[in-house]
Amino acid sequence: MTERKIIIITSDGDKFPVERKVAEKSILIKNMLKNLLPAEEEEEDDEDEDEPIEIPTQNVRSAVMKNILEWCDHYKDYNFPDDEQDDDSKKSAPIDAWDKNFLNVDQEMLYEIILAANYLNIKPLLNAGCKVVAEMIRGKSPEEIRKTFNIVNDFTPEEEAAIRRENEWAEDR
Amino acid sequence: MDLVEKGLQLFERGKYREAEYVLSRAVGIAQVELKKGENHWRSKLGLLLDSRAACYQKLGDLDAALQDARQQLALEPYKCKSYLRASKIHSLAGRDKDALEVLEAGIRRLQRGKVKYGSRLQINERLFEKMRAEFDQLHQKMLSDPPAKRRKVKSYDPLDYLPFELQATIFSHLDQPSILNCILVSRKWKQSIANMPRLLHSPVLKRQLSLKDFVKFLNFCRSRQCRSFETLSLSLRAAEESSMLKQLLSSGFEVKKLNLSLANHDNFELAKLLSNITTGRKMFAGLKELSLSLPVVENGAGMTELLGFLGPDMTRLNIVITDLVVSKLVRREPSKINLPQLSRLAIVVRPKLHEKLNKRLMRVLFANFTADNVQSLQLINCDTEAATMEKMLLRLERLEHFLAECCGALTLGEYLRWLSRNRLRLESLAVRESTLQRPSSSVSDTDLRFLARLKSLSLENTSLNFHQLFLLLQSTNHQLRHLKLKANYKLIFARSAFDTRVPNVTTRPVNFREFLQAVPQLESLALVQCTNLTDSALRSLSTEMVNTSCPKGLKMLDVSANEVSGVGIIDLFQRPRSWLRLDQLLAHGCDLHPDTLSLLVRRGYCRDVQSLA
Repeated sequence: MTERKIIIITSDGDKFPVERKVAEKSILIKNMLKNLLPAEEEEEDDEDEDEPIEIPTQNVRSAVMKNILEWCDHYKDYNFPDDEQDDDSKKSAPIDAWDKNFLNVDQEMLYEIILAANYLNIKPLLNAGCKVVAEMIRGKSPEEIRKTFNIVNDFTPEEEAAIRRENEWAEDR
Repeated sequence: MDLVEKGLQLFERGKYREAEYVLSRAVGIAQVELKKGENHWRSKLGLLLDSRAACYQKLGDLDAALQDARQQLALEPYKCKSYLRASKIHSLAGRDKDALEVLEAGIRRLQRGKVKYGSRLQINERLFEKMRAEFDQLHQKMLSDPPAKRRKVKSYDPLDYLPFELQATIFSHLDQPSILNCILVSRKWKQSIANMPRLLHSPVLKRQLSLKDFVKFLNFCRSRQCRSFETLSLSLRAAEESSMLKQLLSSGFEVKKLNLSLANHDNFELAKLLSNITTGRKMFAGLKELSLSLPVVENGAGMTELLGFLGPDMTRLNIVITDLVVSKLVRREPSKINLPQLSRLAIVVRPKLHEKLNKRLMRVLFANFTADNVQSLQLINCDTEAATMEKMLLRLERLEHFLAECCGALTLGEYLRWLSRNRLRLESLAVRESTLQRPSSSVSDTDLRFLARLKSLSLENTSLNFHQLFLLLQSTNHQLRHLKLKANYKLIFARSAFDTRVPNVTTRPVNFREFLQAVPQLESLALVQCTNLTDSALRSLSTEMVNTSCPKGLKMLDVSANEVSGVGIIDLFQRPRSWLRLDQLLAHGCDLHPDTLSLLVRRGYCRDVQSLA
C-alpha cells in the first residue's frame, strides 16, 4: 500500500508535497497526522485513499517554508534524542556545522525561521536558531551589538553611567 | 631543487600542511634568487606560488590562497592557470562577482597579448578555452540567480521580531559579560532583560567584592527575581565579612553549588548564624555541592552542628581548614551528620597546623558522620588516629577513589589492610606518608584483590621496597594506567657500586623487566626523586622497554628530581628498536641543557618537554 501524499500549504498559497518522515520533523504536523491517519490504515478501501492530505500553515510564507523543508529533509533519517533531559548539556553544545551554514541567512530570514520552527514545533531547529542569534551577541560590546542589529542607542549618557555602576559587582574578564 | 618536488609530492599525497611548509621554504629561496636577477626562477616561483595557493585552498585559508594567486598573477600575467586559480578562490569564498571580474580581465589581457606578441607568446590554448567556458558559466549563473540571499546582511532588532519566551531562550545561551552588555544596548533591551528571572545561572562576582558591590548584586538579582543559581562563589573580605555573610544568608537564594571562603568566621560562628537565619538554613539544606574554606575551632566544637545543616541532596563536600582557633566549650551533644547522597568528600587542612588539636577534630567529625555512598575520599594533612581512620574506612563500602596525604602517622600498609576488608573495587589510590621514621609495613599478608580494577596509583614517602611494589602492581591485573612513585626511599632503582651487601628480598633493586610486564597498559609514569635513578638505571629501563614492548601506550614520563643527564634521557629514545614517543616529558630539576630539550622535540621524541632548574 502506498503512503498517502502530504501537501503543505503556505500562507501565500504555495503547495509543497513532502514525504511523511520529512513533515514529521515538525511535532505539530506529526500530531496532526496522528489524528488524521490512525496508526495503520486498516480499511484498504478507504474512499479518500488517493486524496492527498493538505496541511495549511497560515503563519509561514513560502520562502521560509522552503528553508524549513530543506532542514527537515536533511535530518529526515536522524532521530533527535528526547529533549526533556539534560537541558544543560544541550545548552552548552556547539551549533552543528551544517546547521550553522544553513542558518547563515539574512537576519530577517533567520528570525522567520526561528518563528516558524517555534510554531511548527521543531525543537532542534529552534534551538540552533536561538544559538545563532546568541552567537551574534556573545562577546560584543553594547555598541557592536547595536551595529549588528541596527539598533539606536536611546540611553542618555547619565543613564548609561548609572547602569554601569549598578553592574559593578561583576567580575569583568 | 628537490624542495619543489618534495612539496608537490606531499601535496599529491594530501599532506597539505606539510606541503605548505616545504613550499613556503622553497618560495623564500626562489624569491631571493629572483631578486639576484636569476630570471629562470620566475616560472619556478610561479609554479611554487600556484601550488602553495592550492595548499591554502585545501586547508581552507582562502585569504592566504588569494594572496599567493595575486602574486602569481603579477609574476606571470600570461599564464591561464593563475587566472583560473584566482577565480576559483573567489567563487569558493562566495564572491562570484569577483571571480567573474578576474576571468574577464584575464581573457582581455591574453587576447591583447596575442595581438601584440603573436606567436612569440606561448599560451596554453586548452586552459584558455577553459577560462572562457568558466566565464560563460559564471555569467549565466549570475544572470539567473539574483544576488545570493545568504550574503545579504540586513539588520534588525531581534527583540522586535521574536516573542518574549524566545528572547529568554536566546539570552539563556549567553554568559554573564555578554548579558551585562546587552542591558546597555537600548531601553528596550534593558526592559526585556529586567523581566527574565532565570538569567544568570552562575554569576561571577568580583574577586575582592566589597559590601557595597555585593548589595548592588543583591539588588540586581532582586529586581529581576533571580533567586536560584547553579553556582555561587563568594570570597568575602575580612573587614565586611560579618555583614556580607548575613546578607547572603538572608537573601533567600537557592543555590546548587556554593563556594564560600571565610577569613574571620569559624565553623562555630557560622553554625550559630545559620541556626538564627531561616533562609540561610534553607539555602544550606538545599545545597548539592559545598566548598567551604574557613578557620575551625581546634577541638571541633560546632563542626558537626554546621554540617548537620546540610540537606540530603548533598553530593560533594569540600572543606578546607585554613586555621585553628581556640577551643570553645561544647554544650550540646554533637549532631549526627547523615548525607546519604554524598559521593565525594574532601577534607584539606593547611599544613603546619598543630597536630594534636587536629586529631580530636577528626575523631568528633568522623564518629558522627554517616555517608555510606561516598565514592571518592580525599584527606590531606588530616591528622587522624588509626582507630578513627579504620572505623571510617570500614563504613565506606562503595569507595572507588582514595587519597590520603600526610594523615598523621598512618602508613600505606595500614591503609591497605583497612581497605582490603570491604571487598572494594578501588579505581585510584594515592598515599603519601608524613614522616620517614616508621617501621616498614608489610604488604604480603594483605588480601590485595581490592586493587583488581585499579587504574591509578600514587605512592609518596612510603617505605615500600620493590618486592612489595611488585605485589601491588601484580594485583592490578595489568590494568594500571597511571603510576606515580615519589621519594620512596627503599625503592632502589640501581644498585650502587659501593653496596657490598648481598641483595635479599628487601634490598633488591627494581627489576625493570618484572616491573614493566606488570604494567603493560601504563599511560603515564612518574618516577620522582627516586633512590639511585641514574642514567644507568634509565638505560636498563629502556632496554627492558624494548625487550618487553611494554608499556606500548606510554604518553607521559616524569623523571623530575633525579640524577639523570640529558644524555641518559635522549638515550631512552635512541636505543635500537626503541618505539618510545611521548606527548609530555617532565624533567624538573635535572639540569638539562636547552639544546637537549629542543633536540627532544625536534627529533619528534616528545611533543612537549618541561624542565625547570
